[in-house]
Amino acid sequence: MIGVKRKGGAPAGEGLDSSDAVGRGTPAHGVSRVSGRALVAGCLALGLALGLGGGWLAWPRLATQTFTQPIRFSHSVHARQEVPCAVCHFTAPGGAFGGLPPVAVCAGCHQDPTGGRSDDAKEADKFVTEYVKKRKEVPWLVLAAQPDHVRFPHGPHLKAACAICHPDMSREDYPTLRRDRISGYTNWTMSMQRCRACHQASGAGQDCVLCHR
Amino acid sequence: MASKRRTFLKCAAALAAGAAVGSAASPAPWDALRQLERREHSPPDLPHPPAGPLEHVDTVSAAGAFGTGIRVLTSNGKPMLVRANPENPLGRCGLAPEDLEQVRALARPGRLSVPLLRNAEGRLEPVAWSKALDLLAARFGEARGEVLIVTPARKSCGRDVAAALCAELGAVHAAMPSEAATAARAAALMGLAGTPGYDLDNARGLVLLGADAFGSMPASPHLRRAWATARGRGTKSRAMYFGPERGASAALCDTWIPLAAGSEATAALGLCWHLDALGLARCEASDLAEFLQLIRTRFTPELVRSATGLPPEALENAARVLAEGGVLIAGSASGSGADDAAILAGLAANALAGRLNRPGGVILVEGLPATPGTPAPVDDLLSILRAVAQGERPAPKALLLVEADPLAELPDGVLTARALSRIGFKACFADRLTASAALCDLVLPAAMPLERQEDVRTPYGLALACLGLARPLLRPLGDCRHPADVLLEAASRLGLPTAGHTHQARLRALSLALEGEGGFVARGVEPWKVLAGEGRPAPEADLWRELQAGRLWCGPRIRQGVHTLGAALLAGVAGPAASDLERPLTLVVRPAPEQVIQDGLGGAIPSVRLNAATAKSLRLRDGVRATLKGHSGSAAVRVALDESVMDGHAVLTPAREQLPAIRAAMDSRPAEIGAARRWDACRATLEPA
Repeated sequence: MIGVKRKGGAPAGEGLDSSDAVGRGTPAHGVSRVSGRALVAGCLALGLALGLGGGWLAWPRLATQTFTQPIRFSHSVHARQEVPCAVCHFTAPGGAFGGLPPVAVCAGCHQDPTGGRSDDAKEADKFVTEYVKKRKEVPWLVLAAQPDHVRFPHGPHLKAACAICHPDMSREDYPTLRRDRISGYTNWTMSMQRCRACHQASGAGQDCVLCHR
Repeated sequence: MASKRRTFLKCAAALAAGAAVGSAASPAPWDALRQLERREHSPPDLPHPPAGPLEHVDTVSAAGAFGTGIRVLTSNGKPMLVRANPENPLGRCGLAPEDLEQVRALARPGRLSVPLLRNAEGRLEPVAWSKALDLLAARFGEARGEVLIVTPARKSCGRDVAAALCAELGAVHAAMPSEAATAARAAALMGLAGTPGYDLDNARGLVLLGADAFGSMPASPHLRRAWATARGRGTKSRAMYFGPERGASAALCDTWIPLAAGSEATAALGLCWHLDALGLARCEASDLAEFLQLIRTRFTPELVRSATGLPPEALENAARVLAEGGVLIAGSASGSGADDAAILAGLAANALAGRLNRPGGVILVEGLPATPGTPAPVDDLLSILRAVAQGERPAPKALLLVEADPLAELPDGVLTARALSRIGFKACFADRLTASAALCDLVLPAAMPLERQEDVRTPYGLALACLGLARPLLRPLGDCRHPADVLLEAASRLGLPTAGHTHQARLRALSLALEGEGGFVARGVEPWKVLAGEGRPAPEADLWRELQAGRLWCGPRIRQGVHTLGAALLAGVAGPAASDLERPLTLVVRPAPEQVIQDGLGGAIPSVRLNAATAKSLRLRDGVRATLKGHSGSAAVRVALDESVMDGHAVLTPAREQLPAIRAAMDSRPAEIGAARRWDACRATLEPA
């Protein structure tokens, strides 16, 4: 059909010349066409690279905010001294979460500056001078905070080991807290799949209102 | 040029396509979608705490009926979240839904923020407080003795202000009916002073006769924790629930024995027969012989079985649980209009087993010192409204509802609406336009919990007197005000002496009065152990300061006294109501807590739960719409089959906005004892819509 149209629709001589010129091309036109294709391909590759780089490298940094604890507290140092979790993170009567340890608990061991020169000793001294001596509570960041629509009472979960839900803090020395800018979830927020898996395995209730507000 | 433009466009398209493909092959878009979805999970009116640290304020919750100790997390002074206060021993870190949701409730859509006055066209329009107060004072001044003021059932200094105003005006002061008032009446019939409380902390067993001790009872947050702790200690305590529904209370008990609503008194007296037969009666009441004669003749196992269907062995087991250090609680779901006779029979059973005024049993809790010049309100509001509706009593010239909603809380909804329509001037305090507020001529916006100072007193069911103080943490929204402050200002305009004492002065006077009562501040001490005989801590020098810090005053005390078993009154208990072929269903209505997932089946139409056998006898199927018909009204409902409801019963847990329609289909009837009315076992029928 195309051939028929060409034959019938355009002057034969002009049409063929023109077609040849386009088909074989002058040297100048040929270079332009080849470089045009390469340019498009290059743009495609560049876009691909930008998309991949942005998605894999830039997005995690842009989408979250990173926070650090006001005191560089080392869980592993305390775990090596065989301090059980419940010495600092005790629960209220009835098993509800009693909050983070008040400074008075820490002051039981850290009453005076050590005067040491190591980084850890300096940090411990900073804690003593800035908080213990001033009787000021440390604004600790809560790592495992759950979203507002979730209720997590600690009472029914006390039979399980802390590390079932929380990260094993004896191995996480200085955990960072990253909060998503969109949802507000942190990198330590527990997923519902984990809750459900454990509830199913232990035969615990699975009603929505059991955990959700 | 055209070629260059085309090339440019191609390059741009290729760049965009490459970026799209590249980002699609990365986790970014999927992660963004997931985070957006997560963001939608949290309700939009839920305050989002900022990233920084939060401060906290300890106080007492005035939102729920219990008065839980709460720790409010704030950011820049603005409440963000409510958590339990671990230093408050009574709540044991348990919170009721109302306590948890009170921050969200502050920003509830439809909340009133300015006074509203009905105009000539019948619409409510905003009006200034000065004009509203002038109108209120003028109408009260005109009506004087023909004013009716209705206050909530819960005692408080705010209610004392209304009582004092009524006393000076010569007006009628009525409190909304409550199970606490019914229980206090029942105790008075036995010659006892105070309101019964149930010491589950020291009990070794529990028998519930219709009472919703772990569900809707005001003290349920503490009772649940107390019972769970007793189980955690590994004691061999047993709990039995007799009632029409396997609900929250039955779920926490070992046994559920179906018992028709309205049969609690018969069951309690049948249990007394077993106590007597087993030789477990330990009582020295003056009418013991008369009481034993009554149960031996009229409440034998055969007669009780024919009346209630209860197997004798179930009651025998319950009698053993009670005698072996248990406690028996009789009644019905809170706000269900329990019968005096049921609670009286329950108290008599406890007394017969020697469980009255003893640790681990029923303890009569005396009220806190009342403000001088504040007479107790009448507690028969339902009879007053019925009499007005039926023309047996002249309608009051003015009505003031102080945070009370009779249309949503009382049965006989048609009669209540008729009574309200006959009253000349109606005003109310409300935080939103409730069913009753919508009928009023003047609607005054009330400050909500966390915005106002309030004393929170012993919740019904708790075995020791206590007092907490709810602090205002932020300025009330818009033009909302505390009702007590407004009433005092109205009294000032009327030139009444009540205006001389501010609300805060009354609260301070109460704390001063309590310093001489021998109580203590519950800090590091468990008051129920003091009740059981452990050492009592020294009283605080400055109770007001402690109360403001969110601590709780406790006054555990057991007073022995002479009492009867109410044999003469219980002789009038006729047993369960005869079957009614026109209205074969017995209704159990328990309002749902607010702000939780309300009704899974049907939006605006409440669900009525009944078992398959009952539904089949009424020719109804699961999910169909039906009409609930009482004697004087009807309501549209949706049927939901539920085998946790016993035969012949229908259970409704309507949301607050659904309640007025349900109340219209509920009929009250005279109580077995006394002049009050009851509606704990309303009769109704269900017909396909």
